[in-house]
Amino acid sequence: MNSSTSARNVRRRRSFWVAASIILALLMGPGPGILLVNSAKPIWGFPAIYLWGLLWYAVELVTVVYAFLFVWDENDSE
Amino acid sequence: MFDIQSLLTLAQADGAVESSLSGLGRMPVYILAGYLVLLLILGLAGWIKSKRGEEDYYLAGRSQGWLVSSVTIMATFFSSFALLGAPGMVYREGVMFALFSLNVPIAGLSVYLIGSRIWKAGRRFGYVTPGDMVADYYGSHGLLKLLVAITCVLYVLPYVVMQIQSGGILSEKLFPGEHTIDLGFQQLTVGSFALGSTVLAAVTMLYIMVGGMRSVAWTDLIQGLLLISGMLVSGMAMFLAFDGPANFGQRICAELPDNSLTIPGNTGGWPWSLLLTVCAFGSIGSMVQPAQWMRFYAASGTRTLKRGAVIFAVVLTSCFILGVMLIGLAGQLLYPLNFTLQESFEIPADQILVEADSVAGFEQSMNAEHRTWTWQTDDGYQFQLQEPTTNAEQRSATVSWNWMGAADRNMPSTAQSEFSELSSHPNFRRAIDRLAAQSADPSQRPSVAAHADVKDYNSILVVVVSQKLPVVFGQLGAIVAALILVAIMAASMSTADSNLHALAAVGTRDVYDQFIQPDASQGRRVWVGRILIAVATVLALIAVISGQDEQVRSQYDIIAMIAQMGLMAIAFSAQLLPVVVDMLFIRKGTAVGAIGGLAGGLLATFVCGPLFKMLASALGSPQVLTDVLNAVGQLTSTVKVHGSVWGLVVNVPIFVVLSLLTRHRNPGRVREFAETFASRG
Repeated sequence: MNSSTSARNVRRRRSFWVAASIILALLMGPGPGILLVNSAKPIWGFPAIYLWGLLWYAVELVTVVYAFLFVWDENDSE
Repeated sequence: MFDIQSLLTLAQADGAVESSLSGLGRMPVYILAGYLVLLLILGLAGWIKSKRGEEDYYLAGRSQGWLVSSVTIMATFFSSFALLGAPGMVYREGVMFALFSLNVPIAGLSVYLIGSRIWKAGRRFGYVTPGDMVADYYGSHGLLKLLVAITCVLYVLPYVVMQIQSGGILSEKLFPGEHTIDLGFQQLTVGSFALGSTVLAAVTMLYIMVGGMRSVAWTDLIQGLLLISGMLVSGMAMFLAFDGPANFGQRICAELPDNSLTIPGNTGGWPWSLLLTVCAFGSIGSMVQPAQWMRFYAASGTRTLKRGAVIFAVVLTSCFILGVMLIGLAGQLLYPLNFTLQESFEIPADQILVEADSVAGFEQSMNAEHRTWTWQTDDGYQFQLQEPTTNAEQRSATVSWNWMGAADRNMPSTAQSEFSELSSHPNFRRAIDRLAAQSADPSQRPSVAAHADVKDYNSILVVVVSQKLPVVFGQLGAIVAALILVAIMAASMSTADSNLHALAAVGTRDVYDQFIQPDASQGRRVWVGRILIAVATVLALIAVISGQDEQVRSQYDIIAMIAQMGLMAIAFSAQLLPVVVDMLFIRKGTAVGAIGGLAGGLLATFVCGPLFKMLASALGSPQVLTDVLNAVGQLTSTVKVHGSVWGLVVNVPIFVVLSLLTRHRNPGRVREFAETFASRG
């Protein structure tokens, strides 16, 4: 296996994890996952679903920044 | 999707907004005047830097750097929904709507994933509009190009009209009354609505006409920065006004009703299925609308879009979830919502419920149709009996129980006994019992209304910012409040200018150049675009101003129809998604598949949306349409999802099946697209 094939495989694997993280964040944040914390009881003094939203916002953000740094390569192909 | 409604309802919230704005003095006038002059200067600068040719006018020579590209994409994505509708939705529904912010990173990802490939194809083949690319790839320059143009116009048109209307609405709030303008030879008296919408339309039209995309993008830079700071500052100001985030959070948990802290929100209208599909499809659908598509072409390279994607995802999401959404929550603390439970019951024509002329503890009022008995307490509880005064065979009376915010919803037994004393009628007594039982059952969802001082959900930002900031932060607060109000105008203008500019490009390239005069020179096509901008602006302005006239509105309610179109705008543009995904990533579709899918998707979106109801009503509700409406109504109320999903459910299977049955008209182009995407950016 040459180095360019190996690099492509690494990028493909990373792309998979980026896609999986975004889909997970969508399903858990605004999706059915929200039912896990759907209670009026506060967590650390804040509404539970607001903190839940912040958590999945953080996941989305880290994923986008990770994709920017390690996956997206404007000089590369598909 | 929500933008249009937010503008229309803001128009109805007069008293509260006007009284809260009066405390700001002349500050908004000076800031607004300075802002408008700056826009004209930037428009002129864009014209000075411009070169001849279509690419320069529509795409700024495909040379926009990362800062201008990022902010113009953000400013186009923003509309007045960001500052009016979003906090209004949080005020109405509660914390759950803050999670709507999670759609923004998805849109940010699209900026790179979709945008970079659109940029590559645009650069190689010289595309200017979405229709150019779709028609060229599938080898269908007639019907498919026309369908894409129609999809674009369905998105663009309502946004242009409603943003111009927002200028009028905001002007009415900021500078109420009539204004006299001295023209030298004549004095002209105009209402503030007409003045505001005309100024917004004229300034926007001028800078687009002279400078094209360059002026639009540069003004978007100012407007975008105003918006970002307005959204962030308004949210952060709430933290300060409530003595820090911890105290703010504790008060929200303690003082908001349970439904405000959970999904599906206060009205019960936001199950996770709707929230999820709005975040997934609404966001991507708004990134393939024509103005955004053209911004991808206009970028200087894929590196620009890569940076733009990250800036979009980080900055814009923070503006929502850590910024303007907090205004809605603060609004619920400062102006608690009104909740009402109601019971109706029948009374025979010859019977009167309350014989006495007055009853201790109750206030009586009367109009042509009802006599109303009201009981209320200082802490917001209210009981009301509404008895009809007409002499119909069977008459319907109502009793209602009202409370505010997180107050205990239970009707106390002592109060129930007191209400029962109003009348001995058995139907009335049974209705009181049912009402008391409803109040004790938390699963019975009450109807929701904004606080009397706010009147309308979508004016919550205007009321909170203009009333709270000057009180808490003094003169600095007044300046910030005025800036935030100008940011609302900026949100409208940045959406109107991008859409007007895109409308001109679509009209010129996809219709004039394709069907009217295919051999026109580039210079001529630019002038046709400019004329289209002027004509579209003037027509939109006429629709907006004449829409205020009661007589005109009673015959042709154009604004209501356009507002309904606006509600479906993103759902319509999302119908381009199967074609976009195929062209950019899969490359298995054909022209017949694309035409069939797009036509089917647009039709299904139309049938499942409010416009079909209007059409059926205009045609006198024939049986066949009524049957379809009932079936669709049952489906859409059972499965609550974003409007685009219904179109895509029809669009995708048609696209796939027809593509499997037919062949691509230009296989060479498919190979070229694959090579283009594999090339360096």
